[in-house]
Amino acid sequence: MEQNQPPRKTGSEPETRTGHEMELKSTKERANKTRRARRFRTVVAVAVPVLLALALGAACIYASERSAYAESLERRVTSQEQDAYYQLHNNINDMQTALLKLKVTASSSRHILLLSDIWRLSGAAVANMAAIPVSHVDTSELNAFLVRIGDYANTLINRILSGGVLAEEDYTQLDALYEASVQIGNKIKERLDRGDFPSSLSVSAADGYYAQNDSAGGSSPDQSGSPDPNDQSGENTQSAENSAKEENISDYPTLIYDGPFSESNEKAQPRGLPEGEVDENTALLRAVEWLGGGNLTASGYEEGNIPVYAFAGTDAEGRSVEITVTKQGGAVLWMMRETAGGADGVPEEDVTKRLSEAAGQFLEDHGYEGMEPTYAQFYNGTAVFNFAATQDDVILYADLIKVYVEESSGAVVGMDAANYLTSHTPRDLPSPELDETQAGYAVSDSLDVQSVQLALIPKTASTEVLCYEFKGKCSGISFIVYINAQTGAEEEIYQIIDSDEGQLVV
Amino acid sequence: MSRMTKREQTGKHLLAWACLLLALLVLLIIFQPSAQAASLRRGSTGDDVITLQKKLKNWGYYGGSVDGIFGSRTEAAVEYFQRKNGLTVDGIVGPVTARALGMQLTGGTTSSSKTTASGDTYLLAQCVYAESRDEPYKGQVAVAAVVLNRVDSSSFPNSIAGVIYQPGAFSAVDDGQINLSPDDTAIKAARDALNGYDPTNGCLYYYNPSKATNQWIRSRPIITTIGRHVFCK
Repeated sequence: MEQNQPPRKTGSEPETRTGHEMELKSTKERANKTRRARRFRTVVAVAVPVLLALALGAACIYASERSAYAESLERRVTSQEQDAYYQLHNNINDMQTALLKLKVTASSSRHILLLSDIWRLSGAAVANMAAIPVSHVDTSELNAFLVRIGDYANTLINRILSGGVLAEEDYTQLDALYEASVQIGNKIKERLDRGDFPSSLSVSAADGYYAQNDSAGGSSPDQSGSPDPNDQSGENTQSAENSAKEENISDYPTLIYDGPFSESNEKAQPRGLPEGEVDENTALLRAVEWLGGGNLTASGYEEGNIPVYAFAGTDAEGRSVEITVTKQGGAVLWMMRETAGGADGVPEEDVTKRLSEAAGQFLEDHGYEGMEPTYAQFYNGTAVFNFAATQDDVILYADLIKVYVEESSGAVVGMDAANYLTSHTPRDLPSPELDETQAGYAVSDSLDVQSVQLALIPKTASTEVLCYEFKGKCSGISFIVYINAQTGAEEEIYQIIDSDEGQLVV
Repeated sequence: MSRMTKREQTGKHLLAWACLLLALLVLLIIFQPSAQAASLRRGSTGDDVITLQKKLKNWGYYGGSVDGIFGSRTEAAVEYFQRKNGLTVDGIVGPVTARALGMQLTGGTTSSSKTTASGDTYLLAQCVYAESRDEPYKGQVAVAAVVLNRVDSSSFPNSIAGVIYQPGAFSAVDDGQINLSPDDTAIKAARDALNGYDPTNGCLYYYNPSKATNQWIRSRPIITTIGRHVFCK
């Protein structure tokens, strides 16, 4: 037993040992060492595989849990997509019914009820469309069709409410809409019956979105920029895309009406551009003159909603600047200088006034007369003032120009005239039938009116109406109420929200 | 003999446990990279601090500015909140206080943001940041403008969230980058776009010509090129 004592202890033993004993000890020690080393190797030889096996086991358990979790997520996603598809079918069916009933009703209140139903169903169907994983290329037309049905119904509601009736061509259009919705409904039903749902699992996300179905007999996307017929889309998504195609029908009726999503308004031409076209060199000279000097180089021609020449460089003060000049008329559409940046928040009243005056002066210096500041936002050290054009003291709310003023320096750092150039023309303003007091009778008693002014506001996408604008407060909240200056009808109500960044109109 | 064995056994046990712990640790690290809990304390900065300050301010605990910097006033407000709600008063927002505040700590400091945004503006900024943070500023506004142009187009969903989360529409949604915290530039770009700045002049699509392979998207008429993105209608 004694000999088996650990070597460390030997040092403390009395120095009466013989050489033999010492020798014996060192032999034993060596033997111990080898034994220990062997044991360690055994331990390692056993422990490592055991640990690896444990780790593998843990990894397997973990992996199976993960895969079960992934499957449950997959099922959840799939069922949500199927749910959306079923709901799309239901909504389109209900829309058919409402369209059918419209044919036989004679009462205008029933018309309104059915049309608002169609409006609501269109909104729901569009939301369903957004949740279904199908190629945008194949379904954008169906989406547009569903949006326009609702938009059209809403336009009709407004017409009936302001005393109008459905005309013959409206009934023709409603018939065509009914036919189209029946076709779409049937195609979706066929697919539902087959249990063939569009699924994000069968369409690869990034490619599937634009994957194009080139099977024969399908409709091609809109005529402008129609795709190359020899085009090969990704083979892997082919079958999914072929089936995704099936919601589409060959002919969507073209709706003629006056709403924000109507085809005519989506393709509207700008009305506020001066006559005549300019070339790039003239545009460059205009831009430099407009900026009051500077060093600009052309950065390209952009064929957009309003075709423009773009320039970039530095202005007279050395700030970097970008500016675009319209091809038609050579007007500055947009200009933005580099800014110092800064904090958000509405500054003190006198500061706001000073900045607003600087913005107004800037517009006057650049040939925009009689612009009236309306609302403003303040963020990132910049104040953005919205100026509206006026004509005979009537505010034209469609003709807005935004002016960006740097709060620290009071310098104008940007301008955006897109709205103005899109809609500004001299208006043929009627003289109001009602005076201010008469119009005031139409305003709710709850509104504590603070100011009144004549204004021209957009009524539909392409028509405007002359109104008295009553600004006031009700239980501490600011509102703007618009009363038709001819009929006394309440045309629009806006709530003004004072946020950290300025005023928001909703 | 027995003593020696005992020691060796202890060694063996220790080794085994150490290995097992190590293995477990490795497993944990591999599979759970986000398990670490964070806390906010004096000196913390970032988005979480902004959320914290907003919440405290809304509920009247905090009177300072929402600047994303956890200073003495924020600390005092947190202590006030903890006292009022029966929590340990230490001025540190750990998991318990965070739960009481109804906020989730994302862990670590992200970009310390001067500007704040919420709702649609923030979502739009997230999309801008995820899709185009390496693009020039104009290119970032352009991405936001494409989203807004889609909202206004009949062929797309009719809300910002609808457009961004439309299945397959943005790769950043599929790979989760949409959830990154946007920086100041992205937020400013989103705001400028919401204010009407549209460098794309009405475009509905964009792609990176060096990456996009889809023929349909390449067949669209190109309106402009900004940074690495081509914008088209």
